[in-house]
Amino acid sequence: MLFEEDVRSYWDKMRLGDKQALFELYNNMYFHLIRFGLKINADDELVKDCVNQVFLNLWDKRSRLNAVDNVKSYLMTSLKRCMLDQLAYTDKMNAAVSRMGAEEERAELSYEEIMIAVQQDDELKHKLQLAIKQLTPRQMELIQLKFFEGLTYEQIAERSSQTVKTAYNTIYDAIKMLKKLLK
Amino acid sequence: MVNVNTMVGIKDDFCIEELICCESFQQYCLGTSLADQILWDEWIEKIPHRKTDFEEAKKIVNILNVKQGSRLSQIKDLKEGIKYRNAFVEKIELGTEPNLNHKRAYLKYTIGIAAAIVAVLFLYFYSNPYLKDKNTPNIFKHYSSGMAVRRTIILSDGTVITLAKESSIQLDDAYDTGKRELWLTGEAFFDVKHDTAHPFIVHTSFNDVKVLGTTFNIKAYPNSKTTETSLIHGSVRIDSKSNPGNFVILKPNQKVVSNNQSETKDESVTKEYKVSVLQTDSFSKKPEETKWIRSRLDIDNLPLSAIAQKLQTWYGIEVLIADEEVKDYRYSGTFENETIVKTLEALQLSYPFKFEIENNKIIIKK
Repeated sequence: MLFEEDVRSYWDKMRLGDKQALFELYNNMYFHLIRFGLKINADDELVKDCVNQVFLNLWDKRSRLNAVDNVKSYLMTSLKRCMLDQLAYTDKMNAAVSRMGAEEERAELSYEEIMIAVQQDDELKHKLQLAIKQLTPRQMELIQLKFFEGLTYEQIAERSSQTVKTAYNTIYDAIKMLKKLLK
Repeated sequence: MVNVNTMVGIKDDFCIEELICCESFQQYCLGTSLADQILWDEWIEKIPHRKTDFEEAKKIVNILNVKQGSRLSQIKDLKEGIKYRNAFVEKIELGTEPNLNHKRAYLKYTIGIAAAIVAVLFLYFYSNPYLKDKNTPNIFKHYSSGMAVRRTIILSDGTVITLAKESSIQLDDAYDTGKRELWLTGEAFFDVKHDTAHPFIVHTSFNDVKVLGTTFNIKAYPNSKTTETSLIHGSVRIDSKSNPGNFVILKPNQKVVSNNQSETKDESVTKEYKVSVLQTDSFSKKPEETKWIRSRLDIDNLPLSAIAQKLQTWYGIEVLIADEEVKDYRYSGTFENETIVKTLEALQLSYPFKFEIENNKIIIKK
């Protein structure tokens, strides 16, 4: 796959000290890593901090890094470890270390759960909860593909075997409803 | 249906839903391309009456993308972080000439650790939600020490603040009119001008320190597990942010260490705060906590121009001498003070001159 080859070549250049390659790697991986991190823990600030920490660490130990077959999963594992370290640290402070083992097994968060969890305003959380219930499963699915996974309308149409126009209209109607409910 | 892939077709009479569904606008919200960023920013600047609707659309897109953040601003942070880390490593390598080979390995190890600490700090500065708060941006006066070892700021009320390396303060915009409040990240020494009518408040991430005329030191690095407040003279009260109602009052020569990680609401005051006596250096008999700021100045018949130069370097504030005559005043003696103002006042005792503060510069006159 083209994406994987690109990423692997950035990885190899980065190991040789090419800073631009590090940034290219970052640009290619950023949203993948953010989405992956949010599913582990819906704290967007924590996830963003850890993503940058992972890349800073890469740059630090670039000369000692090996060639990697699957760069994406390497980075995801690094991100997960970084987040778990952070969480373990906070947990220790709250005297609840024992839950760490279970943490590994916990199922990942759904898009709806993340959407509500990252909001700080209780009123908005409540409104979102109600609004999500008003949407049809079909609408919710397309919204997730569009705004969370970042697919284009063409890709959505292809995946759900409908026309681009239908995909667009489904999302448009859902947005219209959401906007009214979030007022 | 408008062209959903680009901003073409979106006119100034757009409806919010249409904007939200536009792919180019979605990309703009995620900061995926600089070109999109510039295009949309310029576009909305031209139609200021639609700005609130534009912001509402942005808000909804950000709810739906579950705050994945702007890639542009995130990579900017990363680039700064790397630049910063490199500069730090270079500085250490320049400053230390290892003369023995076996010392090298150890040195590298220290560099690694030190650099990591600094970088985390740096990221935190940028990601600190407080600094990003919509209510706090440019309206505040901001001072930062950056790479300088110390930086001194003299405020309009005569309060002297010296920042340690990599520390910053933001003043409340009403500071000059009597609302003496500021926000501190990092470490700073304060010599607060006495003013009973206007209490002086230092906000850190975890505590609020309330002060009447006083000198004290606060160490509140955001990535540190603890916040330390050391009191030299006067009286301060430290209020917990995580447990409202918890506070301690310090006496001179005491310090309080508070645990930043304590988030449990029922935490008792004694658990959250540890009060202890300041440790004094056995040689100078002055507190260790303010060692970073005290300059021991041994002067043996030196002209004021040379002394000014020394003070400028140590405290990190520009010192100018306006009258030629004063430059040749000569002094002898030993001074060890926490602020530049105190040292100047001590010098004035033996051979009088005047000094004023203008735009955070000290101007010495006849």
